[in-house]
Amino acid sequence: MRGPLSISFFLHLAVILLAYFGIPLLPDRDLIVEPPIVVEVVQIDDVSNVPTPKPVTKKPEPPKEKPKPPPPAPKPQPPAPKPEPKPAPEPEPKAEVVPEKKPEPKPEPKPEPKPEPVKPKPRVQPQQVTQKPKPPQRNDFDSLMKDLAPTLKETAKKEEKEQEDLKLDDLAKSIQEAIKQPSKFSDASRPLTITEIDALRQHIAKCWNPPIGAREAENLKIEIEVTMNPDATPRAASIASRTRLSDPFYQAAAESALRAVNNRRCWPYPLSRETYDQWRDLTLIFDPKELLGL
Amino acid sequence: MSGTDMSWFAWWSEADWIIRSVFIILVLLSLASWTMMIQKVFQFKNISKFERLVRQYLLGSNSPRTLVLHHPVHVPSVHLAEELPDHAELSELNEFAGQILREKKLDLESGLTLLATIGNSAPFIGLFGTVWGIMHALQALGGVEQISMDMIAGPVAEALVATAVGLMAAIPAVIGYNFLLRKLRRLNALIDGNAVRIVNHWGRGD
Repeated sequence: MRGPLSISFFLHLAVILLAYFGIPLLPDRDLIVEPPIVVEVVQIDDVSNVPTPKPVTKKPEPPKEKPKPPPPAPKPQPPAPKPEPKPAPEPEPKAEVVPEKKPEPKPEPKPEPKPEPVKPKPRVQPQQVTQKPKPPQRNDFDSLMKDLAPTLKETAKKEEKEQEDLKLDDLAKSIQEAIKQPSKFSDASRPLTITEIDALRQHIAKCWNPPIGAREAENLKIEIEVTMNPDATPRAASIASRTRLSDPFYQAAAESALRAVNNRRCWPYPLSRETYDQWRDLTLIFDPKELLGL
Repeated sequence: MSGTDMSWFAWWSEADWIIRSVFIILVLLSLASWTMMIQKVFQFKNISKFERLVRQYLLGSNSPRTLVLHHPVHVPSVHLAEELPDHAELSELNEFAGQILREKKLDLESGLTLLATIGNSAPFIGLFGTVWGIMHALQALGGVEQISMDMIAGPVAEALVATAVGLMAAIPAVIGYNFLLRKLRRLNALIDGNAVRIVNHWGRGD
């Protein structure tokens, strides 16, 4: 009797120890401390109040972002001019074809200046347009190639590193902007609600942990419709922009935004009960653009 | 139940004494059932091994009177051979053998009732803990205006631990009970066969 008892005792002990120590250790739950992100707030009920700060907050952001994308753009460009000289001879034969029909002096000056300014422009523009979707693909591929064959693409690595540095710079700047912005616009016509919105913006941004590896993150704008309780806690929240939910990246981002709203640690929101009519229905726009510095 | 609180025994500090005692009782029942299962498996293995040896011995036209010399006495048919009176009618011998074997078989059966009881009652004990926990969780919600999922989720998850432990105790007990019951039936057939051979030898007066 003593043998079986000790066997079963140790069996139970093993199961309990496994449950206590082994199983909680399996998932690694290291939290990444996320920087504050700008979350735009749009009110449905009180339209007159919000639109004034909204365009102002949006306008300073895009100009600071738009100058930034060019720096990554010229780097994909350096490979671009190299292939350009190769097609460059192509226009020359065309130019040569033309002079055969027309007198010699006129074609010589005309084709030479025309192909040089005209062709680079259309080529650069489509490249900028087409390369915007391409870089993330290249990055993905390069990151794969890094793991597989580290020596293959040294130049690509350098470009990546530079882009990452730029992204970090952009991130830091956008964080600073995000911190500065509320104070900038606190002097508008209705300071009470605006400070509340800014406070809410920062507050929700703290709770948001957006998906980091999302593709085309600049397009991932998530709208969350929230119905609020009078005690400044969300009663119901749903994803307003449902049409794009088939995209898994968008779905992940939208669910992360929904989690940010439903995160109990962030309740209640810093809103005063007196202005409940104004924030009973909120539309929160989550925009990962600022975080990723795109 | 947020993040780090999801570890398996986080509920313990929040549970009240009923759920804790249900948990402890169920762990003890599980311990008892496993002890019993392991013990019975060893016992059945041991006895059926010797009963087979006895059968071989008897089929080899050896006298059952020398059985005791070569085999351990805790084996039922050896015990029978030892206990049978030397001079008796065959009907008397049959009755005597039946009585002795009945005692031995009841000894073999002991513990199976415990397994059956654990297998039947452990889920209900766990269910009691769960019902109690949910009852308290709902009572705590009584005066609250804004009911959120977390106020229910934590206590209910905590209460469901009791059902989980109950099932963990009951499932092996039920499986083990059925397994051992089958083993016991085969063993009984073996013992009965040996007993018939022994009694026949005795009746012939070998």
